[in-house]
Amino acid sequence: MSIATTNHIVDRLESTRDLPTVPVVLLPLLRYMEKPLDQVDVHKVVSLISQDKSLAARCLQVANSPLFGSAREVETIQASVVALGLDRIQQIAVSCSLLRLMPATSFGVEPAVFWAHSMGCALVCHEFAGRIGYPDVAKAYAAGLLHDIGIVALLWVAPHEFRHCFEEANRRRIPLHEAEQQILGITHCDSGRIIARNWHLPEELTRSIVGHHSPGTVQGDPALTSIVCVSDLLCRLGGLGYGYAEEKQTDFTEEPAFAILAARYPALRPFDLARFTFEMESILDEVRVTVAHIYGAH
Amino acid sequence: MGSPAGAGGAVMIGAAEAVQKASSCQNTKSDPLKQIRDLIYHVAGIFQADNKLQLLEDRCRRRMKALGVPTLREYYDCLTVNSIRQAEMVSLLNEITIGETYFFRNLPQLEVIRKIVLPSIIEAKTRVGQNRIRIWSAGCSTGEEPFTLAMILLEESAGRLKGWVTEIMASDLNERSISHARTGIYGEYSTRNLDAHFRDKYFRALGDKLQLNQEVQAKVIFSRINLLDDSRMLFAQGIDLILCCNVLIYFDVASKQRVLQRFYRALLPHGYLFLGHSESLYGISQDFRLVHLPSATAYVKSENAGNGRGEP
Repeated sequence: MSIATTNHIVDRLESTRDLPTVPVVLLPLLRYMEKPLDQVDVHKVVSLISQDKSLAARCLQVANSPLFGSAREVETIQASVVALGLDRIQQIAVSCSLLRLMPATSFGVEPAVFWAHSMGCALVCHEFAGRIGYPDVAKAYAAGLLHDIGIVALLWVAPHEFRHCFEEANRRRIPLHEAEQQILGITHCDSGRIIARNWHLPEELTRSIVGHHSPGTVQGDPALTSIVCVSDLLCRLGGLGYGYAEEKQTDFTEEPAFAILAARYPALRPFDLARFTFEMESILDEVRVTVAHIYGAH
Repeated sequence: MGSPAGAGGAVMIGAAEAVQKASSCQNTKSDPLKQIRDLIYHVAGIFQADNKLQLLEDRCRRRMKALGVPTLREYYDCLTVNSIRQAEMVSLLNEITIGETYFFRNLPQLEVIRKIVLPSIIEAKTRVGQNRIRIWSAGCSTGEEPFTLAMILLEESAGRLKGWVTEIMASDLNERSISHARTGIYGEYSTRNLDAHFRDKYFRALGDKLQLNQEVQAKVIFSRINLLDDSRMLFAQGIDLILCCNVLIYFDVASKQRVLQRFYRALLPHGYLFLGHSESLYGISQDFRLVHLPSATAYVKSENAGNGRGEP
């Protein structure tokens, strides 16, 4: 695609006219998730989620799925906090806040596929961060969830061009961002930067959105971005990508993101990646079931 | 596919160190089922993920019933401190791998072999001017795995494998399994995952069973081999692809390492080693490195390795 087209897409992204507005609960929830749990006012979180009836209903569906494993059925957000813990409810709510972001018409990446990938990546980030000793697993969850938000931006601003990228990536079985770069001249990392700024997302989350396909180029601490990069790759290789299997072979120890993390976290020297992969397969299976349930029911 | 009984006299499971390792996992201390899961992983190298725990519990309960042991906690003791622990671990592994032998069993693995591994081997072989591919199904049980591969190769024979010579060697310790494999006759259970295309094209009805046609049978050479018997391994060289599913789990660390050194020498530099689903070589061998493929994992030869002893 020509430079003129690239500029046109960038202009439309920058004008923000066509971008979806930030979900009302997203920023307050991200702020709560940044705080230590004992400094969060539980009632504020519960009322924030409960005042949006549709969001609350989706949250309860997810809370009652095997994914989060509530032992008994919960019927209110309050009860779900007791059953699963405040941290889990915040994660569920922030995930569900993304459910209504996609255009109604499909342009390649289906809403359910996008949400399953985001949710899967969030959960893998959370687990991976915990395993390696990264101090803020809630932030890792949020970064995993939001990493591909640039795809949402492209779907609204340049849907037909994006569909072309998706079809090309699918046909050649290559990563989506490679097709975007070749066809649009920009990727969902670039559009992610614009929507993240537009939504006033925290700086570190924005960096991980921008850098998750090139963690070596991140300014500042690249740890969070690298966690997202590794987790994203595990999801895509684990069959929870954008709805097609990329035909690639990956040695994680050769991935720059892995090297960045291994230099910082002794838990990765060495790390049983085979076992971690098997564990994550089980989580990704649960994500598939949960997402099918949620999208099937609506 | 492995053969539980096939490991036979070679079964040697060293549990002492593994027990220590597994019980040091703090987060699983309170849950005996997860302790058993970790023990199996450390001893055998096969992992039961959280969504398989119910299945694992059912299998443990079957063994508990046979032993008259009432609780999982006590059953864990049977697998660790009791004098029967080695034999009991083998019995439990047999329960875990039971019924794993059928055509087209591990579909993601087969897809990866067809779409990524074969093209990669073809490319490597073409570069050195060769047109021969050798595959070894080590621990082939009653033959479903090597015959599945044979059908996949035959499907490709008019396409990208046109003009290529392909050989599949299949070995197992168990004489009865090998004899069965040589008949090429299979019942309902083995063929339940077979789609109509393959059934119609490569099988013929034989009473209430199905028999593979000559074309498929001729592609596979069966032999009875103990993987630990070095003298029988002369054929094992110049191999492009090894599949060894649910076999290494029955060996102790030293035996696993011996077999892996044999595999290392047998494989060509571009070769691949596939294990069974959820099997891992972590901490066993540095000769091989893990690679991730779509919905599957495999091992390839490490550079600068040769006879390395894996340190976790």
